Amino acid sequence: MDQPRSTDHIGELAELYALGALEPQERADIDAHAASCPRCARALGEAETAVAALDEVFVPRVEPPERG
Amino acid sequence: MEGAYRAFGTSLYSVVRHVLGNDHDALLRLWQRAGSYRPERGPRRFLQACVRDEALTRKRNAARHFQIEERAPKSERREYEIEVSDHVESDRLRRALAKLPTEQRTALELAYFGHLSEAQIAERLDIPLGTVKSRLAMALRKLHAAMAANGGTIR
Repeated sequence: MDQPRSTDHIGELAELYALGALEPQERADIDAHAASCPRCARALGEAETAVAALDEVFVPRVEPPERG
Repeated sequence: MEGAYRAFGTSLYSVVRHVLGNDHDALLRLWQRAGSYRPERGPRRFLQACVRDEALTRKRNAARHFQIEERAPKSERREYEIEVSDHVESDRLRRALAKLPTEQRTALELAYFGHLSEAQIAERLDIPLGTVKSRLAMALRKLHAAMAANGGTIR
């Protein structure tokens, strides 16, 4: 499972992906797989939701500058 | 995407600033990844994950992380405690964090607050990469379960 091919489900790599803890190649493999796999896309969504909950508690809100 | 930028711009920008400080033009590379989006993930979470990735990649490439590792996670966490907006959600998350086994919480803190990659965490804790993966996965799944089980305001 360390090197998912496009046909493998991503398993616990969803959580590492959401935390940004993966190497760029692993991340790209997961992007490629999840683009055509609803089950893994859902797993990514759940993991990303948990990280977003951490953001809401721990990341200070900063307004972006105006776009030119 | 224009609508998504307007709707979620502050959340996205905040995550980039969290990791990079003022060096925030990582945001621009976001649009290159739109092809891997699926609706199951939700646009906001997808964009937020992409932005975090780009920011972290830049930070690691700049090889500045050694200094930052040393002051994270404790000093950063203390600073953020005054930023809480929703106390009910926040208390629930803090309780879930506190209930994690120490080894899972440590791995999560190094990844989230310390901005370390899985390989860096394995090296720091002197444990196998597979152990890092499973600790992070377990920790985050427990947080998700705790948030989803109590009220469901999480999206």
